[in-house]
Amino acid sequence: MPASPAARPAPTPPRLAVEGLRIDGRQQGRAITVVDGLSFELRPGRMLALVGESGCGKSLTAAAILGLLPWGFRITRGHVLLDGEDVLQLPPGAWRRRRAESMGAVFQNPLTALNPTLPIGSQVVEAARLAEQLGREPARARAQELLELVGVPEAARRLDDYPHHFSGGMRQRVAIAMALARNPAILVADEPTTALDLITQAQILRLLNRLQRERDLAVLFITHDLSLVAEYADDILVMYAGRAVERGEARAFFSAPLHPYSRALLGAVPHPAAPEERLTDIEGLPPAPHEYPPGCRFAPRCPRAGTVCRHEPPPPRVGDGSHEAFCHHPYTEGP
Amino acid sequence: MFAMILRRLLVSVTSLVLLVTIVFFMIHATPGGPAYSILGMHASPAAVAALNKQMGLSQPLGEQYVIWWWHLLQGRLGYSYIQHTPVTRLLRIYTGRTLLLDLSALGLAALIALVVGLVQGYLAERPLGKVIGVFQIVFYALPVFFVGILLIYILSIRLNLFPPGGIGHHGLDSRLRHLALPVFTLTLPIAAGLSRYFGHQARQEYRLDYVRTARARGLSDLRIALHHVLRNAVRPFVTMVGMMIPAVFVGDVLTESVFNYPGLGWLLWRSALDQDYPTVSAITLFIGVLTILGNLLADLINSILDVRVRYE
Ligand SMILES: Nc1ncnc2c1ncn2[C@@H]1O[C@H](COP(=O)(O)OP(=O)(O)OP(=O)(O)O)[C@@H](O)[C@H]1O
Ligand code: SF4
Ligand SMILES: [Mg+2]
Repeated sequence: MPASPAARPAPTPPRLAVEGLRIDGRQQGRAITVVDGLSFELRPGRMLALVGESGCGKSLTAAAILGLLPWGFRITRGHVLLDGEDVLQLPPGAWRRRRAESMGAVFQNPLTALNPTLPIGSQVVEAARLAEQLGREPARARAQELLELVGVPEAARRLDDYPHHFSGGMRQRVAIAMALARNPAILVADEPTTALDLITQAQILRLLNRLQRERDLAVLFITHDLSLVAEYADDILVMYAGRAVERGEARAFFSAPLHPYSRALLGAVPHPAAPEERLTDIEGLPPAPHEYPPGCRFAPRCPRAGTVCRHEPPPPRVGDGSHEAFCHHPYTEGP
Repeated sequence: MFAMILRRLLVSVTSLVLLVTIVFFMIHATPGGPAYSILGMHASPAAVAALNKQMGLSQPLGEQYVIWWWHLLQGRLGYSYIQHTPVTRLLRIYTGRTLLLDLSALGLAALIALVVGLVQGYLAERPLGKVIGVFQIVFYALPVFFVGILLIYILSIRLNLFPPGGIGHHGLDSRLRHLALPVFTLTLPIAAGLSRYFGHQARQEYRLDYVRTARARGLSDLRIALHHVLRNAVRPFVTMVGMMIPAVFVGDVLTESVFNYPGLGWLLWRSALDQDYPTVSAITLFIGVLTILGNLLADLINSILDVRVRYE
């Protein structure tokens, strides 16, 4: 692992770049800012893991780039650049078409990921069939191909089966096939494995990793479980209370996490280098959007918090060059 | 599938037996029994006894119950002492009109509910969705009498657009014009109730991941509504439509009375006022049977919709 940024090869341009994203909305009649100043990039062939506790704004971030924000929520600041083009400036219809062509999405619940009243074969290629005016036979062939790609056994025989004939893990595979039907450059997966057992979780991650390499996919993988993505993520973005707290290359991040929150999250993962230094789970709960504190939002729960933390929003602090943290007193040594 | 239908049939038959039994006991629970209502409250005991004997009412209850069944199975529903004609003959005259009114209203209401419900599900939290919700409650709560009289006053008396009542006789045009106001009046609360129910159903559906992925995949709103949401939300809706039948008939009695529309509801209302027990009980039975059949039909439609999915 090269230590200085100059030694790294020039990065491929991002497929999707999010810059200074802010999302505002309403919750029980109150105006809230659920995501603020968030930036990240999705690059071909790489997986970015977006990690954070429940309610920190992960799903709304994904919804924002997929154009699926719930009613009342809006992007109020920032840019979403798709292959360099600011899609927020596009008319809604054009943006919608661009999205459908270039992004696929998989969500959390395998039970509701598929329409229970349609055979999986026709569902998987529905969007492609409509967009490309595929005939019946080519559509079936495409469906079979996609199901084989995601590892559904005996795909040809199962095209006419309904979702309830499949296990949760298999349904998520079908959902992934459906997301890939139009050959998107970007795949957004919002906790696609959270509802699955550990073994299936690992299988799905391996599958995503393979697809990402084979198809040069840019993957956004959302999870609250750092240990799950430790093996496969190329980049990490840790969010806390609507903001990024640490981000960068996964290897650098895991070898020397800078932010106290990242360390606390990693506390759940025994570290081989220093098992005795395992941090326990973080005390307390993350704040709700209407009660985000001034200064560092993690301060009320942070073991290193000082006076400055409670008043000044923390600036970015660069670690070993390939990742940075937003913290007044980052850890500078390894774990 | 076959076992399912058999189970449903069994439920229906059981309901039928219960219905017949309950109606039987209702009749015999009236103070003084049917004879008094025919002869009047001040009839002499001797006259009552004579009539009871003539009508078979002096026999033990169990025996009467068996006879009651025996007559029903032969299609003998009794004799109206007010109209001086067998009740079956009355049913023959009045049923068609009521079926026309009720089925038009129920069909129209179901159609409106499907459209409004889908729109409402799509709108979710948006203000327009909430406005629709308020209208549903208002229309559901407005008494049929009030709506009917209001419509008659405005559209018939003031504007002279529709006849205020009756069924019309001369040709299709006249019949339809007579049907319009009653159908509208009866449709309103049913459509409000059904669309509220279906709107809720559709909204639940719209929240599910498969709808979100359908959106992400760029399917049009119309396709999502018809090909995905409707498909899934329609089954409980069919059941609900079946369950509405008794409510439709309650509305029908009121509507027919307001519009002087000579159907079963109107006949029931008149017969109740006249204490014409054979007619009242026959109509009650008849409507009960229609309700049971309606629900059975809804179940069958559902199982047919279901077969395509769950052909185990
Ligand atoms: N439809 C909505 N209406 C109102 N508030 C919402 C809605 N969706 C999300 N929120 C709020 O926005 C904030 C961020 O939610 P989000 O779903 O993005 O969190 P998350 O990080 O995905 O959490 P989880 O791990 O629970 O999925 C939370 O406070 C949540 O309560
Ligand atoms: S800025 Fe202060 S409170 Fe926030 S994480 Fe860093 S040390 Fe803790
Ligand atoms: Mg989420």
